[in-house]
Amino acid sequence: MSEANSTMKQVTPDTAVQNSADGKYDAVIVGSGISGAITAKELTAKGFNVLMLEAAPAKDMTYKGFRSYLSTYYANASKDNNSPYPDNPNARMPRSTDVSKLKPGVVDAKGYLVQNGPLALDSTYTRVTGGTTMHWEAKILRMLPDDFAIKSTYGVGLDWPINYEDLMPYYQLAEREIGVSANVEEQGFYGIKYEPDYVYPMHGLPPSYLDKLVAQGVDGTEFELAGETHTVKVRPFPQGRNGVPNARYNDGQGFKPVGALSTYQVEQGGRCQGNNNCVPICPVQAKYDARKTLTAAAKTGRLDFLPQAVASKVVVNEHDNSIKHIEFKHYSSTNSTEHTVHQVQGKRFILATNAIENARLMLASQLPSSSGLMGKNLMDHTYLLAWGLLPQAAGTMRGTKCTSGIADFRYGASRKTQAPFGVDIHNDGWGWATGSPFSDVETLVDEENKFGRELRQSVVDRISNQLLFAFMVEQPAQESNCVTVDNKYLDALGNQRPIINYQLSDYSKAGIAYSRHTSKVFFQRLGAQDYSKYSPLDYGYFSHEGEDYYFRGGNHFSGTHVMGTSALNSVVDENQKAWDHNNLYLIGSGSMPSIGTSNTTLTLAALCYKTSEHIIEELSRYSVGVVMDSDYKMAKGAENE
Amino acid sequence: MNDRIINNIDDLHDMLDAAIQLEHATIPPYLTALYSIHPETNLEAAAAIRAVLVEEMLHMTLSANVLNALGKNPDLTAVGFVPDFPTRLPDGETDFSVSIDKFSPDTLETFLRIERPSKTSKDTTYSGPKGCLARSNHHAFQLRAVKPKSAPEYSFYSIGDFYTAIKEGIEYLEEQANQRGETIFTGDPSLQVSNEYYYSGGGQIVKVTDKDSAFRALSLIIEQGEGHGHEIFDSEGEISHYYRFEQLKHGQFYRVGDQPGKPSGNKFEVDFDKVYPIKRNPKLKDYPKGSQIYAAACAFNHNYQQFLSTVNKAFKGEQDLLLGAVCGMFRLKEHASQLIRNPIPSDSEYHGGPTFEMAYEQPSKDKQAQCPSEKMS
Amino acid sequence: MTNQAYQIQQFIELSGALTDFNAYSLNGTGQVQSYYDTLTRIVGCVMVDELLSIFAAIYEAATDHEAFNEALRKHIIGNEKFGPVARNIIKLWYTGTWYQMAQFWRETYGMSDEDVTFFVSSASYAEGLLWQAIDANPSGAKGPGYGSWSLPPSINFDNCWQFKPFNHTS
Repeated sequence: MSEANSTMKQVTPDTAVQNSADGKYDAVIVGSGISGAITAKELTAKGFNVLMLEAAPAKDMTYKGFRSYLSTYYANASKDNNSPYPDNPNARMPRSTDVSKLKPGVVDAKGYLVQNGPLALDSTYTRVTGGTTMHWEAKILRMLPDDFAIKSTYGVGLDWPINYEDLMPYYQLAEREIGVSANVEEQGFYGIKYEPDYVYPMHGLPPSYLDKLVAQGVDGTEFELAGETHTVKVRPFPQGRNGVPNARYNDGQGFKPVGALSTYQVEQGGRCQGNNNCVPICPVQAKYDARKTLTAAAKTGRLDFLPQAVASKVVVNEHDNSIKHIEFKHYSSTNSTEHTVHQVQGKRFILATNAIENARLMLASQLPSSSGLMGKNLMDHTYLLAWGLLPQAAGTMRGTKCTSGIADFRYGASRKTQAPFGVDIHNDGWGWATGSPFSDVETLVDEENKFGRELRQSVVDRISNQLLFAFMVEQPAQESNCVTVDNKYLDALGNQRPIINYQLSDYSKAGIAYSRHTSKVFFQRLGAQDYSKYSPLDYGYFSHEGEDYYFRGGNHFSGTHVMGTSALNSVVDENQKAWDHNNLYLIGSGSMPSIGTSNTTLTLAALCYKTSEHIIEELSRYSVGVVMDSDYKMAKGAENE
Repeated sequence: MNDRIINNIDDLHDMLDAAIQLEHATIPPYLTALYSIHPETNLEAAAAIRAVLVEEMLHMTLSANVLNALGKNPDLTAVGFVPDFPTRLPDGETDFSVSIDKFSPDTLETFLRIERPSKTSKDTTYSGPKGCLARSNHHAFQLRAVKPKSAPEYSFYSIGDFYTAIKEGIEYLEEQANQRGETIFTGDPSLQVSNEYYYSGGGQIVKVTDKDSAFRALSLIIEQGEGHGHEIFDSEGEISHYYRFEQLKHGQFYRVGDQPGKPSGNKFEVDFDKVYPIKRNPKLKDYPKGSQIYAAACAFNHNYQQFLSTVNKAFKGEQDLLLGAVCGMFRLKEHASQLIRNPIPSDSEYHGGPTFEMAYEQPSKDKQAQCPSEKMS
Repeated sequence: MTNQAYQIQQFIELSGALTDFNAYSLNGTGQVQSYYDTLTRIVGCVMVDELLSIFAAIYEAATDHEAFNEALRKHIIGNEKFGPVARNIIKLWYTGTWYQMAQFWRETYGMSDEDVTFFVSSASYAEGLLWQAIDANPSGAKGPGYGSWSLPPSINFDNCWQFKPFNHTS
């Protein structure tokens, strides 16, 4: 793809307002992340006209804009997960560097997220075109079948109104869109199943040398837990990045990976090169991000894209509670808060911002859901980190962020009493825990007074031998964890900011404590020195049964507009349609009643395919002039050429 | 005189071998110019050179697929496969030399000449075989693609004529074979490099199994270079090499619909000062013996030769090796950059650069003494 | 040789001794001039001149690497004025970052407005020697290619700095 970015049709607010007054739009989508992009692509492919509002500027749709993210990242003294993305006072985003230890009873409002405690949550999302897939890691796991019914099976959290089998066809679609690299024979465990003869679009990424060393040490370790034996095996993760296409995909038709976004005559975006930087930005665009889907949607000519438009209010018709219009604030520069206010409408309204912003916008619009659950049940994966030094150079700091992990604590009867967890082996060493490798150099030079050969040798021993396990612990839904709003906390455009109320339950803490126990056994088997330390001064600190821990947020916000079986127990139905408003959809991980021990993106993408199918069906019922099914198939086929 | 240049399968094999050598020969100059650019500067120029470089690798692979389809393996390790630089290329009745050099206005002119082969017009007649002429400086050409095997006293008018001759040869020989109920495409299909191993930019690989696919592969090589009928963009909206480079002269991108010489897209800066001053066509003898730069240049050449040998094995059936070869290429790139950033000791003006001098003979003891370390620093 | 060219050559030698990377590797990063400029801009030419003269004297006096290291430790690394500068040079090379000098040093030897923690340039980040030392690519740049991470790292000291006893006869 070398043509200029001329197919991404950007509209002005005036055009959008005029078009919507003329009844042009079948759907108005708020947000250009993966949920919005998939829905836009599906709807436009079927002949429907879509208006998309995006709070951020769209400069990253060009190579130059994308390069500027990279330059910002290289030169930024902080390398946190939003460091490539410039500050935008008109659509601020959370940054982990804004988080500090909370004082009891004192609200911390210095970052974009207002932290009301009792624990501070350092999770983030990215408010740029393409959304958080710009910084996501792209590990892309399906949920276990058990995860959909944790309330009925284990008595914790909430059940889904649908199950794994219902989602299977949509998982396939999501895996195609994202372009997943994995081997089916390595992924079918603990109930995960696939259609017969299914293969992933691309072959699995090779595991890192570090993975192999860890596997040699820990494979076969047995743990007795709730009367069951859990036997450990290091397994590769499915990855949302380009690898080697599988010729057997799609009945032998193969798969064509999507390269870098259509840019000015730059050919990039081939196979993953191992830049070890998936988070916060893949420099060669081998990693999937939602701009790839967005560009495909734009190519239909039926997507009107309106950047720098921050949705500020959802307004309902009094007679039937349907949505009348969405109000947004349009700014012309990130250097000024000057803005104009507009209203747009379409046959359907789709909020696809993210779990926090969807709830924030609804609450700010005084639409808390008749269930009272809007913003409640905020979930995230809680991470415990454990880090040590291996006795030999492991080649740490190479490869994608994480190629393998351990799935053997994700299932089982213990889920009744303690949270299950997945384990990641981090190819980037202690970075997440300590700021490695820079912090190591600082220590060796400034504290250990090393120079010359001694220094160089120590750098090898201290960095190349690093091993960090990140334990991703499930957090079940709990209403007291929630997003709220308050007129005390407004952003530069006068929009209410999200307030985070967050605590860990004993169930979560028990899971975290057990994960720490397993890390000790792993280090013992590997002969690794355990360097893990959990200071009471850390903002994520807590103690459990006399032991110190800290946790990190997983950036997997979800649950804030859960789906369920009725308007009494949930905000949306299984198609993510709001029970209260017959033309409104709240899509994304906010709809998930539980998140198991899988990164949320694949499941939320699958849900968006299900929702798109439903919306298309509804719209088709009273639409004339949409393209014929055969044309649709041709358009779909063309993507795969 | 026989008008046809390719009269038997050996001629055809020889010409395709020569095509692989030719496509490879542009890689050292492009690679060197690319890495002469200061990091984080001249982004557009670097992107243009990188894109062309990647496509030249594709062209080399496509030529290898055609040759493999005809039942003969390429040989990237043959003596003289990597030419001595500077090397000459024909450009109609004149010719020009291609150097390993820094990115500069001169280099850019050379790149433009490489990518715009002129071609004989149909009514022009020269004394030699079709598309060929006799030149007074005939001996100056080293690349095998320049001189047809069947008429070595002549040289092609241009590279375009060279490829035309290959296509005509395939057409002729396949027709003859078909009349006998045979085909010239007798190669092992499993040797065809597929897009499982090669898709990283530069266009689609073509598996060659018959005349049609061979023509598709050759047309891709020809079109990506000179463009389709001298159009700026091809039917898929991809800009041709020539115009991709020409944009750098204007400091402005072409957009679809623009006239040649009048780009109307975004403007950008090309700064020829933000470039390391590489000594033109550097040779090992330019570096003081025993110096770190000498050792590094030796090691680079050794590793480059190993890289070619790995690619060669991949073309002979071990396709898995291509993934490793790409990693090797990334490493070579870093080593080339290091050489280019190092001033030549005892030379106040110039920096080093990779010399691409291959050791084709068995290294004598003397030579081993010259290159003490085969490891890269 | 101009005075500056001489100073830069000395700067490269000092950097080599401090980091254990030879002149070829240091030049290979393309950062010599910009690091030298950063250093002189922030701590001043006088300080840099002094540091390099002391380094030259140590080098000249030393008979072997061990003795040289010993003198380097005592007179530069362990010197309250030059130690912090030398450690900053090491960190500059290993990470591409200039670290703000410690407060006591700033109060005693002068505070430059530019003495804040920063990456010298977006290129310097990618040229940190720490990555070369462990045979890894800098996170986010110079991707080594698909699958390269599956092999053991190739860690060696082939491009180390070497002490060559000063030849007093030349």
